[in-house]
Amino acid sequence: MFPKYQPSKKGLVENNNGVVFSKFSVLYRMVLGRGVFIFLISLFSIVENVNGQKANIKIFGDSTKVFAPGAKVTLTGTVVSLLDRTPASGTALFVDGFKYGNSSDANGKYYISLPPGKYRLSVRHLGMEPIQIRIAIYANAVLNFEMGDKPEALEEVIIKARKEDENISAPQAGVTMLNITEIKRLPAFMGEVDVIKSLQLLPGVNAVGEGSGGFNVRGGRIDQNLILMDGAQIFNSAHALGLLSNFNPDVVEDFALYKGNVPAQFGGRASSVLDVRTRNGNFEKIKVKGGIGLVSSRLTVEGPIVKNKTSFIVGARSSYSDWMLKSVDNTDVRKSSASFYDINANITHKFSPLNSLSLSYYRGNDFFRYSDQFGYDYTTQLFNLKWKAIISDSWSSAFTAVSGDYQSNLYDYTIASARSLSNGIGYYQLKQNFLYTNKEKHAINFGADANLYNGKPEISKPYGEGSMTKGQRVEKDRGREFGFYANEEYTISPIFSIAAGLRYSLYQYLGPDTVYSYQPGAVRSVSTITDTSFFAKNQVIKTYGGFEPRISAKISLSDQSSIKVSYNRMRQYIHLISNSSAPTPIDIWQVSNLYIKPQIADNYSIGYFKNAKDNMFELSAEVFYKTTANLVEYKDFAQLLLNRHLETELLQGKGKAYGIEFFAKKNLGAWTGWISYTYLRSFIKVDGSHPEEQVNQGNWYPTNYDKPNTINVTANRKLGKNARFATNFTYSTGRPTSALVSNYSGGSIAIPVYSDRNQYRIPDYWRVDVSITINNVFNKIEDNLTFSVYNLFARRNAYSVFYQQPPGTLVPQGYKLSILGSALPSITYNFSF
Amino acid sequence: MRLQNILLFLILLVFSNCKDPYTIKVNGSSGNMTLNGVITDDAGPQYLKLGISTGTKKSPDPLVGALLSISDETGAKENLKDLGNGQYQLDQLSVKGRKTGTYTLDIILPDGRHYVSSAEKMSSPQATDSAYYQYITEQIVSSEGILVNNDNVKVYLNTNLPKETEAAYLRWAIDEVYCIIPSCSPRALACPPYCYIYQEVSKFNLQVIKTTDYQTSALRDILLQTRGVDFTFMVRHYFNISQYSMNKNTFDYWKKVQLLTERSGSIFDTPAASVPGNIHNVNDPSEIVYGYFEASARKLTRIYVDRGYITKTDVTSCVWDWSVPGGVGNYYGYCLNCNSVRGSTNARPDWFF
Repeated sequence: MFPKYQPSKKGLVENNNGVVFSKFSVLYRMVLGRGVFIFLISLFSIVENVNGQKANIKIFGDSTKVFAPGAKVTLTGTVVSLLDRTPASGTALFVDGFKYGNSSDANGKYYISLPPGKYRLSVRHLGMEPIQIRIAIYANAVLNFEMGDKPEALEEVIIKARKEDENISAPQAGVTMLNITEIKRLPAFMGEVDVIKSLQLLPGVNAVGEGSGGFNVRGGRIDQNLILMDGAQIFNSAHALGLLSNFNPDVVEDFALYKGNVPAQFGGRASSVLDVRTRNGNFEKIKVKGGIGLVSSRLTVEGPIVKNKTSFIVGARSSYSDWMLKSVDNTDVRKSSASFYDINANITHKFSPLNSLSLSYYRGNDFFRYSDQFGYDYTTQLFNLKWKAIISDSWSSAFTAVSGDYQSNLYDYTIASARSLSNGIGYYQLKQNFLYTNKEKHAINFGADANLYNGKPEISKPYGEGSMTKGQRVEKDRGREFGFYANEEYTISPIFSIAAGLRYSLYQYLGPDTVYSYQPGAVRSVSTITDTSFFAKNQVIKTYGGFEPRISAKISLSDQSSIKVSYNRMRQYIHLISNSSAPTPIDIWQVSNLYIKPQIADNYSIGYFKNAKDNMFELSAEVFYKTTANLVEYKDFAQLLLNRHLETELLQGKGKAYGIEFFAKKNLGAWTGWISYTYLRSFIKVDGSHPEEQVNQGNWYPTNYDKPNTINVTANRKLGKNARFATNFTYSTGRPTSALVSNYSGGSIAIPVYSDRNQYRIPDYWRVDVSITINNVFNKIEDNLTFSVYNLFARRNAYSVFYQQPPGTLVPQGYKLSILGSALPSITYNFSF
Repeated sequence: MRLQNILLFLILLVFSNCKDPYTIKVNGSSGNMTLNGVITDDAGPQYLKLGISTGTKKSPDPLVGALLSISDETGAKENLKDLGNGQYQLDQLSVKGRKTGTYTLDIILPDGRHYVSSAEKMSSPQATDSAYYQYITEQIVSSEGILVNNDNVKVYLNTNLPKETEAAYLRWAIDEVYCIIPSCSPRALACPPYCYIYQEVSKFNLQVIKTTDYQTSALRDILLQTRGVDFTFMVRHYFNISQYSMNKNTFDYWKKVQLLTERSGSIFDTPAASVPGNIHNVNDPSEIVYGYFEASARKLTRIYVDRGYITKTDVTSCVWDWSVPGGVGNYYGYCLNCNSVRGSTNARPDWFF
C-alpha cells in the first residue's frame, strides 16, 4: 500500500525530473457530536521509482524564493489509519538530516517547523507500514498521511510508537516505552511473551524474586504501581504466581511505564503507572492470531461486525498443564493442579470517523492446588466503557466508565482445619479527560476522575465434609477517591520544554463500619480499646486530600542531548496489606481509614539523555530520590487475615529510596538491544513512640526489594532471512532477609532466633535466556516457531532462604529455595492469517 | 527418548523446585540465657533446662550452677536441684503443679544476674485424646531427581475438645521410645542388655489450637507426626503424645513458634522474627532471654507400632555378623553398643512390654 497525501492549495508542482503527475481534490465531510464542518484539501502527488523502490518527492512553494536567515516554514497535517480513517495518534514523523521531528497527537495531527529546504520524511507507527517520502518545502504546507497495516504482523521489524529521539526531546523524565514488537523479540518464559517480565529488564524496575507477582519501581512497593488496562485498574497483574502477567500480547497495542514524571491525569499510587492499551478489532476483515505452546495456548479473533463501523476482538489464553501433572509418579505432584486463563473482548462502534464507543471485558483466573495441602484461586473481572470524541482540530475528549472486581480464595485442605478464605475488592471508576492541543507548543490534558472502592468481606468457611473449623466473616472498609487535574506539555522553545501538572485528590472513608477507639498514648491493641462507634452506609468517617504537583522540564544541550529534571508528589489511598516477602493472592487491599493514613510520596529525578549516530544509540543516566510518608509496615507475627482490628497489627513509617540508572540502547544494525545498570537503595524507618511500635529499634532498614545492583543485557540478531536470535542476561543483588543468628530448644523443637528485620541477604541472582525464532514455517500463512530456553545455565537462583530442623537434630539448618532451578526449554508455534 | 519421557523430563524441570542447604554468614548471637521449662500437674519430679546460646551451629550449652526456684500463688517456694547438665529438677516437695495454680520462676546465675518469669497460671480444660497410626509407602523425588519409595508411619490424633464456652488453648507434643536388642555373639556367656531409647521427636506437626476456632468439639485425623521407618522399628516403637492445656499467653508463644517452624521458603511464609519469651533480667530489662516458662496441665496418650506391622524389608534386627573383620559383630554402631545412642537407658519403662 502506498501512501496517499494531500498538499495544501499553495503547493506547486514542478516536473523537473520527468516524474509522473496526478492531481485531484477530495472533500471530507466530518460529522461531529454537535455540528458539521468541512475542510477541503487539494491532493497532489508525485511518484517516482528509484532503485526499484517506490519513493515520493513533494515540493511545496517556490524553490527559487529567497529566505531570510533563520526563516522557518511549518509542515502540518493529519495521520489517519487507512483501514478505518481513525486518527493514528503517536505516529512518529522524523526528518532525516534534521533533528526536529515530532509525533502526532491524539487527533492524529502533527506539526513540524523546518528551515526551507529538501528533506526525507519518515512516518512510522506501531503495526503500520512505514512511509518514507522526500519533500522540498519552501512554504507552509499541509501534508496528510493514511497509513496501512503492516503486511506481515509477525515479521519482527523495529517499529516505534514514538519519535526516534523522544527520549531526548520529550519533556517527561523517567518514561519507559517498549512496544509489543520489541518485547516479542525477548526470550520468554515457556514461550509466553510478557509485558511485566519485559519491563523488569529495564533500569529501575525489578521484582522480589522469581515466582513473585508484581514489580517494584525505583524502590517503591508493589502496591505503589498503578496498573491500568485501557484505563481500568488491575489489582493483581500476575498469572502463575507472577511467572507471567495478565496481559495477552496478542491484544496489547502498546504500553508505557511512568516511573519518574507521572502526568497529573494519573493518580492514586505513589510510585509509578503502567498504562497498557489494548487493540480495537479490525474494521475491514476477519483476522486470526494465536500461539500453541507446551503448557499454554492463545487465540485471538478479530474483525468487522458492520464493515468500517463496528468491530470486535476476542482474545483468550489458557494453560493446560494438569494432564502433565497427572502423568507424574510423584503422589504430591499428581494430586496437584495448576491453571490459568484470561479473556479479552472488545466491541468498538464508530458513529463517525471522530466518535467511537468501545465496550471491553476482561476476565482472568488462576488456580493452583498443591497436593492435599493448600491451594488458591483468584479472578479479575473488568467491564470498561469508553467513548472517544474528537471535537475539533484542537479538542478531543475521552470518557471512561469501569466496573472492576478482584476476588481471591485460599484453600487449606488439611482435613481437620480445611477451610476456604476469600477476600477481594470491587470498584467503580469514572473518568473524563479533555485534551487540547495547539500546534506543537501546547498539549493540555484536564479532567476529573472518581473511584469507589468496596473492600469485600473476608469470609472463612469450612471446606469439605471433614472440616471442623468454624466460619468467620470480617467486613472490610469502603472509600471513594476523587481527582481533579490539569497537565500541560509546553514547548517554550526547541531548547526548553516543560510538562507541568497539578492534581488535587480527595479521599473519603465511608461507612458502614465499626470503628474502635483506643486509649490515647497507648499501643493500639484489643486490650486498649476504649470505645466502639458505628457509622451508617455512605457516612463520611474520615477525609484526606491534597495537591499533587507534577513537573518535568527538558533542556536541550544539543540536537542529540538533553537534561531533564522532574518532581512529583503522589498520594495513595489504597494499600496492599501483606507481611510476606512477596505478594500473595490473598493479600488484602485496604483503603485508608481512621488509622491507616494515605501514603504520600515525593519523587525527584534528574537525567542526562543522549542519542548518537542518528538515533541509532540511546544513552541515559538518571538519578532519583524518593521519600514516602505513611508506608504501611506490620508488627512481628502480625495476624492480618480475619482481623477485625487490623490497625492493631500495622505500623506506618517513613520510606526513602535513591539510586542511579544507566541505560544504553542500540536501535539499529545487525545487533540490537540494550544494557542497563541500576544502583538502587530502598529503606524504611518505623519509629513509633513505644518499642512495640518500632521495627529494628526505630532505625532505618532495607525494604524487601532493596537490591543495590541490577544489570540487564538484551541482544537480538537477525539470522539470515527468516530467523532471529535473542538473548538476555540479568543480574541483581540478593534481596534482604532476616537470618538465623541463634537457636534454643523448646522441648524437641529447635526454635530459631532471627536477626533484626532484613539485615542479611539471600544469594545474588543471575540468569541467561536464549531464543531462536524461525519465521514462515509454512508458506500459506504468516507464522513462526520459537524455541527458547529460560535459565539456560540451570542456575538455582534463590527465591528465599529459610530454616528448618532436619530429622534427628536439634539445630535448624538453612536452606535455599529455588522456584525455577533448571533450564526450561519451550517451543511455541505462532500464527496469523 | 520417547515423547512421554521427554514430557516427564520437562514436567520435573518445571514443577520440582529445589531446596538446597545454604548458610548465610551472620554474626551469630551467643551468650544469651535460654530456658526450656514447663511445670505440669504430673506427679513426680519435673525438669527445666537452662542454657547459654551459642549461635547458629549448635544447641545452647548447658548452664550449670544457677539457683532456680519456683513459687506459687500461695507463697510456697521450692528450689530446684541442679543435675549438672543444665537440667534442674523440681521434686514438688513444697510446690506442686496444680490446675489453676499460678507459678513464677526465679533464676540467679553464678555471676549474680537475676531473672524472673512472668506469673503463669495453669489452665484446667483438657481434651480427651485417642491416637492411631498408618503405615504408608509413598513415592518421592529424591535429591538426585529419582523416584524412590519412602516408608513412613503417620501418627494421627482424634480428640474431643472441652465444651466450655470460653476458649481453651491446647498444644500437643510427641516423643518416642523404642527398643534396641543389641547383637549378641553366639559365643558370649551373656548378651548385652536391651536398650530403651527416649527421644523427643525433632520434627513433628506442632499442633496448637484455640478451641473456639472449631465448629465441633470432635476433631478427627489430625496428623501429629510422620516418622520415617528405620532401625528404630526393629522391635517395638512407642509414641507418647502429650496434650498441654495452656493459658492465652503461652498459646500466643507457641503459635508464633509454630508459624516459624512451619516456614518452607514459600511466599506464604510468615516473615521471620524472634519469638519474645516471658523471662527478663530484673536489673536490665533490655537483655534478651530466649525461652518460655510455662505452666500447663498435661495429659498423656500412648500408642505403639509393633515390628510385625513393618513391611519395609531393610529394617532388620541386630545379628552377629561374622563377615566383619575381627568378628566384632554387627557393623551398625547401635547394634554393637546401643547405650551409645542418645537418650538410651537399660531400664525398661513400666509400660513398655
